[in-house]
Amino acid sequence: MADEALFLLLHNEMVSGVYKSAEQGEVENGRCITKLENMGFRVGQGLIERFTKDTARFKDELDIMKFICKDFWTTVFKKQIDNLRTNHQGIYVLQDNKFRLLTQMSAGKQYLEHASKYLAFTCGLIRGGLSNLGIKSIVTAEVSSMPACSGVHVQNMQDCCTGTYKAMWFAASIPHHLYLAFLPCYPSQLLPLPCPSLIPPQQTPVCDAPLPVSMCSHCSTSAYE
Amino acid sequence: MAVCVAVIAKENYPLYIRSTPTENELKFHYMVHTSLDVVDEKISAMGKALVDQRELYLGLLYPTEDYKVYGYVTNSKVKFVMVVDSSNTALRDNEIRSMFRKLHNSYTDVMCNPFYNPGDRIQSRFVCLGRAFDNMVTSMMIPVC
Repeated sequence: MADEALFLLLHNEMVSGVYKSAEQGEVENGRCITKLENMGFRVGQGLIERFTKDTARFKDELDIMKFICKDFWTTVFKKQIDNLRTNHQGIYVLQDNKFRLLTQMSAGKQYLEHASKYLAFTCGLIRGGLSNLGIKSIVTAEVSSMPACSGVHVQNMQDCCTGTYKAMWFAASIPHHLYLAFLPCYPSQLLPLPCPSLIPPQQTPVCDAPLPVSMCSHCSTSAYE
Repeated sequence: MAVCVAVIAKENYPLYIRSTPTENELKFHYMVHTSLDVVDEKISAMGKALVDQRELYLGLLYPTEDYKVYGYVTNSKVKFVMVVDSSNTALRDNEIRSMFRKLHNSYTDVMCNPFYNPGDRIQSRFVCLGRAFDNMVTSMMIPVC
């Protein structure tokens, strides 16, 4: 469909535009991720207002997350989230095995280091949507694709063979706060948390409940430390 | 038709409030304010309710001698309150519901406007920001002779 392509192209231009202005010194270098994330935040707020117009009232947090995975994702990315996991204490992991914004450059490992740029907007999208629904969250992204990640999950290994990028979203919560994390799974390339100021140091979310994710040696601890 | 229409933010401060100019404005502000307690009560009771009762429209909040107060809460916890003259018996529940839907649609348009900061008051002095919303509310109010 044409509007899909338009969104992809616009998003690509947006990312390269922000990074180009950083090169010219208009935006402080390193603030690009935050800037893209903030753009996504505002868009997410507006979108969720429109999408939830005709839905029934949400029962709980899980209900909201399901809505994000199904309806929200389908409308924005034309597919559902492939896997949603939670520890029922406010940590949510959303996994997309064929993330639309990354499929064009996922033939090999060549552009893996650039993947985080293309996830920031989506992180903001989720965070904005959730914040409008009354959930304060932190969203970080993780991309896993390379063979080094083998042994994580079954789907992961399949992906290693095909070489497509996957995106995973993580969420952790302390009482009354939800932390969604969207962590890059490749070891040294963890995305900075979009707004670290939201986590008071004494309340840094600790992943104490055993998460399925902790099977992955790269992402179990690093993001929550 | 409505005599007062109010939009209340999720933190319970007014985003937009408008009443027929001929009446005592403060009285309506007071009515809207007191209705927020009823709204809260209804939402918390609704959390445990069945699926078909989880509608955005809350129905009649409370009647007073001269007016009826109706409520509506969006998924983002923004509250719409409408005060209707109780002498107007022709106004059915379904009509109130569709008026709220119209109000919600307009609010969504305001929310999706890039020049609007979420959480700000909806003001009509900016063309294309609050103006459309304002006009829609005007169409819902009692025509002033």
